[in-house]
Amino acid sequence: MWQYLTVIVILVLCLFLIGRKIHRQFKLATDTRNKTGCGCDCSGCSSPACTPEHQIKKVK
Amino acid sequence: MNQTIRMALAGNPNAGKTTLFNTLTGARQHVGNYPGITVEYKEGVFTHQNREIILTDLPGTYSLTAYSVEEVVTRDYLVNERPQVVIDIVDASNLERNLYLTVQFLELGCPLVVALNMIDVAKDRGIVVNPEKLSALLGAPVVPIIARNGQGTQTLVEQAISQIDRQWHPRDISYGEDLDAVIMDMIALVTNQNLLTSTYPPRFTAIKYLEQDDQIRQKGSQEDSATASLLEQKVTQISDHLQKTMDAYPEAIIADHRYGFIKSILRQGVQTHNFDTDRLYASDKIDKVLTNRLLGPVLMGMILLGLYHTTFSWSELPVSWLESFFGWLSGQADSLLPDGPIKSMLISGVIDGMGGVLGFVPLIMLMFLGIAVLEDSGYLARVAFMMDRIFRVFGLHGSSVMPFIISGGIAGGCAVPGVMATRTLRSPKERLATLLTVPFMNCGAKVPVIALLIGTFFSENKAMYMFFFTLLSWVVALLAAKFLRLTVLKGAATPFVMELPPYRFPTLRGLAIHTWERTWQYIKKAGTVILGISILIWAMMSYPELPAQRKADYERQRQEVMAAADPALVAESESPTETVSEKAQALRQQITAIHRQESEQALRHSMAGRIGLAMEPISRLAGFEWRTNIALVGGFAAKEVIISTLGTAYSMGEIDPDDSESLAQRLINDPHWNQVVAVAALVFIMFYAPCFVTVVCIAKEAGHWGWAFFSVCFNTLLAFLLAMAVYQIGSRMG
Repeated sequence: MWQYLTVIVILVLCLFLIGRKIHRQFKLATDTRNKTGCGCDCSGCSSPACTPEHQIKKVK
Repeated sequence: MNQTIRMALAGNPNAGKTTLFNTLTGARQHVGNYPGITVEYKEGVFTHQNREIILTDLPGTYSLTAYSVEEVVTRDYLVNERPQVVIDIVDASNLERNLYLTVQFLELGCPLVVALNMIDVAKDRGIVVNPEKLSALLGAPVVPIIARNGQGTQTLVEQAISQIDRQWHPRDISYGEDLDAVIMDMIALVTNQNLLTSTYPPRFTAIKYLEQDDQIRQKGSQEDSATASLLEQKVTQISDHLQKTMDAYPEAIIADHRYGFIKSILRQGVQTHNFDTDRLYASDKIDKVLTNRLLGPVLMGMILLGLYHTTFSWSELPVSWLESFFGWLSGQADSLLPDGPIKSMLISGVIDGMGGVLGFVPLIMLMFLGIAVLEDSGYLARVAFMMDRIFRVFGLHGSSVMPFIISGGIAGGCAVPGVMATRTLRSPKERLATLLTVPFMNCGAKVPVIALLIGTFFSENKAMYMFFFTLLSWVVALLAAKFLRLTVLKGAATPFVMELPPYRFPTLRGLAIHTWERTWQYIKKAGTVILGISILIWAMMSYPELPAQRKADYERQRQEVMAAADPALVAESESPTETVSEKAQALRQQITAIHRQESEQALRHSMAGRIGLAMEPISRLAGFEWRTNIALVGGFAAKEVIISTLGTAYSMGEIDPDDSESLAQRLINDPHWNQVVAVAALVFIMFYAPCFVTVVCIAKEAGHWGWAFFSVCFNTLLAFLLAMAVYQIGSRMG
């Protein structure tokens, strides 16, 4: 039984995270004023718009 | 912290804006040695002498007239956001052309600092620029810099800060007697009627009317149609007059005078040539060979083939190590964990699903390294230049080539920035035709899927097949574009001029950063999104479970087989030793067959199995069985999911816990897969519906969800017809 409960918790977590990801991607990609981009996370995505704001470091 | 300063970074394409942006902010925005990298603006923050500076990197543009989206974005940002200072980055080795934009900034009147970039390249070409003299003549500070290594950038920031309190002060340039007179009239009209004066200087508005700037004319009409109409009349009158007297339009005369203004500046000792100006630069010499009409395409083919050959041959060993590692991990999990759903999820969902994607990390890494070399050296721009000739035949614009390459034209790109890069196209129909066909390229997510199928079924000539499938992606994309241009997107072609950046030696650091960032993105995506989707797909493949009655039936069948056999034989067949007698081996096979049947029935009974089976009557025409269907449906979320789903599906069908073979071996052993099915699957995967994010981007860029829907349907239908043709013809040919 504990195995089934653990699997259910993991599945709910996955659904939540994937759902949130899709929602964010959808929001980013459809927002015409967005400056930080599609958030597709693709390895080949060289889009300057694909860099999340938190990755822009503050220097000095 | 003192006040926050807002600075904007502008300049011609490929002048080094993004490099300077990265140097100043410490960001790692993508920099490519080809024009058109920045299609919308982005912001970064850094501090200088305890002051926070917000730096905005604007798209590269040659002018401030609304001919293209970049020009509109840049101009709108400057007039609407009013940055406190604009850093205009100019290429010191192409000063005359770069100063054309500078002159327009001066006409706009924004506080300006000129960053004289690539002084090292200019020096190599024998060009010496006198920044003090240039500064005095332009009336704005000029700072020599090398953005790549940061030389001069601190002085640049200090000079920029010194300009922040300056008021906007437009500079007047004479456009000849005729135009100057009409400009004065128009300025008076604009000023008296307050037409757009809150946004643009009156002289700037007048000049843009003369340049037939659609956006300004539209805004003018919306704000005050009567005044706008008067301005239009004046433009028509002067245009007619100039046409009669000089056989030229106002736009051409304005451009001539701007260049005249620039030439007069350069001739005053600002720029001197140490070498003969006719001397062929090294880049030009290399281009004579690499972009030769006949030799160029041959060399391009050889370079691509070399890239694929190196990638496949060098990655073979590390890929096999990773396969062995995941096989070992699977075995460990199997022996350590108790039977149950967690064990199944870990082995089939996580290790075989995500592990299948991670196993290709060495191949992806080498592919990205090769592409980074081509990109940083400037060769990709030459590829675009050579492809331009072909593109025109298929009704596409020369500017369409770069979006294709960004999307994975050489393999390993991404369709999302490719779709966004179509903004450089001015004709809406050419732009739509491009953004609907760029998803046909082999993006970074498709590469591991293609590599898996090629490596599994065509292991002898992997590089050659990769080259073939790359060519196929271009051919299909161009034919689809031609079809669209002849049907739903009919229209005339527009002219195109392409700038070829000089060749540069890629730096080791640059290559390492580009390669690692893309590889890390791949690993990160596999460990997050793909992992999550793999687990969900595992659940869809596991539930609902077979009814207890059917499970009991299979158990009964096993018991019956055991009961009918000699107890000694049963004991021998259940022993862990591999070498057993023939009879014991036959018993093992009988039990295994029942297990296999049960596993397959359980999979078919699951939610994913039912979806895959429902699609099978149609997908069979292209040779795809239900497990492949599930993987292809999953691929709509992200193409890497195809591998993880196949990994999970074939792992769950596996009944021998000790047999931890790779996905490639499982596919080879599966009776549903062969070379013909593999080619049909490859064709379908390359051309069917773009991933979810790309579809949303198409809707955004096309301005209508209808085009996104069209893209999904058109691509899937085309892909299926092609895959079906491959399978049907291939099967009949044996």
